[in-house]
Amino acid sequence: MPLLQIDHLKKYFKNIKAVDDVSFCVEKGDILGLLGPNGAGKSTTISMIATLLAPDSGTIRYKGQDILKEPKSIQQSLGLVPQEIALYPSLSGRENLIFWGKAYGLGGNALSKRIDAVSGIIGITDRLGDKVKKYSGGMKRRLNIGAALLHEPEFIIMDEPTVGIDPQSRNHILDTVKALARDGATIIYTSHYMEEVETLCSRVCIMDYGHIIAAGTKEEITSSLGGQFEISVKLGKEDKALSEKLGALGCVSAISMEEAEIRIAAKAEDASAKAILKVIAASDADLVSFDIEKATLETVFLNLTGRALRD
Amino acid sequence: MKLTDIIKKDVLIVLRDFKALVFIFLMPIVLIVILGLALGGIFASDGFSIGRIDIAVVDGVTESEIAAANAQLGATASYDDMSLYSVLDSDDIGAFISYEVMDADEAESRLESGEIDAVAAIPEGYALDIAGAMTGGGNGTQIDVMGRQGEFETTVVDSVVQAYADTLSSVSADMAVLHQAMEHNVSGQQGPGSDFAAFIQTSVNASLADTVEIDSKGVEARGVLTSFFYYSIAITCMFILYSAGQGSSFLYTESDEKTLERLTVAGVSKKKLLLGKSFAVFSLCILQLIVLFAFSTVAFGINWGNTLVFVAISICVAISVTGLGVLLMVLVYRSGNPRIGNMFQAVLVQIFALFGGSYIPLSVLPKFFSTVSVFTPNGLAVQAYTANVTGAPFSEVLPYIAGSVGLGVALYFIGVMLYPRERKA
Repeated sequence: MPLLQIDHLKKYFKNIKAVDDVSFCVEKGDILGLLGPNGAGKSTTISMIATLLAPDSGTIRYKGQDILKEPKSIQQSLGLVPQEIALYPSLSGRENLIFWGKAYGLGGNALSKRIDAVSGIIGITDRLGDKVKKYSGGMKRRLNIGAALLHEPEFIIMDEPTVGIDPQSRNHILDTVKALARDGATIIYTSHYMEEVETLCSRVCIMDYGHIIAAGTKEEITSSLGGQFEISVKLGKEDKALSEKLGALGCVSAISMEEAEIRIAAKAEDASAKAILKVIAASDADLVSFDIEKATLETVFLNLTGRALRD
Repeated sequence: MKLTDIIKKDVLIVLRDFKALVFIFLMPIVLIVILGLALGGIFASDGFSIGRIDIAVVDGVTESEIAAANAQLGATASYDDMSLYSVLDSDDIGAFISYEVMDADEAESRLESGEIDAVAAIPEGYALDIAGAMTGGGNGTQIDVMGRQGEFETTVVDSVVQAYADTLSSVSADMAVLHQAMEHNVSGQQGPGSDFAAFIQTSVNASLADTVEIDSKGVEARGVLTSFFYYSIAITCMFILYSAGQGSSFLYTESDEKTLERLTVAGVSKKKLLLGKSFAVFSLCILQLIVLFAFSTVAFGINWGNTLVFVAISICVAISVTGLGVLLMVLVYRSGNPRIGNMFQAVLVQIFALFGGSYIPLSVLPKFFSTVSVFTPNGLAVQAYTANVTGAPFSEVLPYIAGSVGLGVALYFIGVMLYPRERKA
């Protein structure tokens, strides 16, 4: 029996199908990546799993129990790291951890020990006495995670935990997630950063417009493309005409342009690269760089939607 | 999670907000001092000036007129017992109104120079008119009160004379009927005789005494108020409304900063959350009362009256503020519009302050203000505190504290009814 089983989940907001017939499961010890651009339905899905939002239809079972009928069955086991910094800025780091620890029923020595342990994990021990509003963005993100770990949850949901932070804090957070997984936690990790999901997650669900458009391990998903390149073309300036010419090539299965960068999913053949370079050379475009990479989850998304993940 | 954890957290957050501290503690202290100094003229420097109101009585009634009036009233009644002097000489009124009989010119001159506060003019023929009224005849009459317009002393003297005149009118109407009945029965078999006449006389005196006594209780009770004393109460009672204003954002902020989601996931029920936040508003209010009243006690040496009643008032006042705070909290949360709380603090508090007597004592405002004040938490609070600190019996304080609790409970339940049954995500 999977730890979490989701079947035919739907949530509409008026005419917007935020989540539309989504089904997936999470096994114990998994790190499941929910990948998709903004508005794909990731946050709505995890809000329903976290009992914050009631679905219009579908079921969510945690350890076999329907959480819509028995929300407490998941609440005490769940550590939610929301996308926003859900902390009290005028309280210190320690005061925040004390409050959230008490929210989960901890107290006394047990709480003190957990605060010491968690502050060590997230690396803010020396700043615990400072008010949160004085923290850097990265430190706030780390404390945001720490507040969800106090009660040693066996199931953790992290919603875009690395948005808007410096590389050092991001690496610290990624290391924290890996450490939690090593200790046996089951994690759902949502992001629109493909690299993070590829690095961390054992399984991935790619979402777009409320649907899961691809699911499986990274290898399973990328192999579904039948072996493709992802070619990144950086130009001196945006060139829509060139993008259209490249898109018309037979070897190109998908193309997207974001400002002066064109991303191309193409058949993994030398001829593909040559044909693309030939079109670029024939144009007036100012070529800055031309990179060929193996197919990634981003290539899959580009192939399936015709858009880049960050569009 | 315990309720105390929610309360402690919310109170701590407010206490770490500099702007909130200014509103809750600093501004009222500054205003108490400023208003106490600036509006001290309404009060005497060493106490409320009622005890030292000096008036002139310009008496047009002559000795011969009194003799004629007494003859008309009969052996068992006397004009002296019905005159204005009988009121002014009473212990209660005499404690704060001193009078001197003088002629009209001198009275006018001394009023203009400020030596006296008001003039009561008894017209010629007044005694005979009173006697006539008591015996079923006579013309209407009145005592004129002159003073400096808008001054509190004039209002007080006018009130005392008005109360005297009203009672006299009421009694004279009854007396006229009784007098006629007596005359009718004198020739009959059931004449009332001297016992009946004595009864009438006793009734007149008792009525006058009762009236003045009732009036004087209220007035005399304020005799210990100074301007600092009054404004310590009035401004504090106004600024505790800011505790409700602070509380108005409690739920909205939790929702806006997504901590509400975390609390939900942690299994904290919406009932517990609202209850915790209600107690947080209550605690803030109590804390505010303690700090502001402690300041007034130390700075102005104020005695707050019966301690138990004082504590009871404070708790009941905090309940009314809590009810208001919860209603605002739910309205702001439901609408997702924190401006409702801001509007309350910027506009409604000022209106409440005006009608609740926080700026100007209700006693010098038109009666309409006193009527409206019982629908404001601060108005009820001001009246409860002033009643207690001036030595009023608990029975006089009780309506105000009962009103505070009633208002608070009503507002709280409206808030609870409006509280969304499902949390917003």
